[in-house]
Amino acid sequence: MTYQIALALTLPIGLAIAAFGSAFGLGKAVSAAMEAMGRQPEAATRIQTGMIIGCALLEALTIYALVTVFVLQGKIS
Amino acid sequence: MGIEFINRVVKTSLIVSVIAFVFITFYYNFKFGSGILVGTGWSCLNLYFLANLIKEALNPQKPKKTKITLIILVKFPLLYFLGYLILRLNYFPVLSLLAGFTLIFLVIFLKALGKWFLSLSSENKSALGSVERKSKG
Repeated sequence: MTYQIALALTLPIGLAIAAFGSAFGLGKAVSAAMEAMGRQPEAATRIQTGMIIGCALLEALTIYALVTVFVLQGKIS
Repeated sequence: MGIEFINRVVKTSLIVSVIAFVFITFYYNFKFGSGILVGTGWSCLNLYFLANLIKEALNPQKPKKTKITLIILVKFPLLYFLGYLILRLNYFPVLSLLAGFTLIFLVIFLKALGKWFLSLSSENKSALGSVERKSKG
């Protein structure tokens, strides 16, 4: 097996794992934030800001994976 | 810490990226410096749209559906396609784009650290004040 075949096989799997992890993390974070906002509406703005930063960080991890896949994709052919 | 924190983070990141662009262009090369600028710009736009999307979607009054739809349409297909084009263009080094993309998180981390230090120092001051009051009393 050449490294090109290995890359072609593993890149989509890696990207799928990254997307799944990000989606799972975002879902958990947002649901916890919604619950907290429902329990304490007076702290909603603080929770919202924390949630936005958390969402941005989670999204960034997926984007890192995406960029890595794009860069490595060029090495397949 | 409200939504204005995000706006301040975006402004600070843009200022830091412009300073980094000037220094890196002068001491290293133009492509790397402009890559950092473009990466930070993309990241700031992403955070801005995300913050506005969440703010509008969680609006306790009636949420504006047209604004939410517009933000979703701009953020997901358009901004992400722009990012894809920037990568496909192959003009900027990927490392510089990633460095610029990470800069905003560095700013968030440093701002949070600063807030934590400030709260720590104010706690120490209040604790010192209570000790002084006790010693005087």
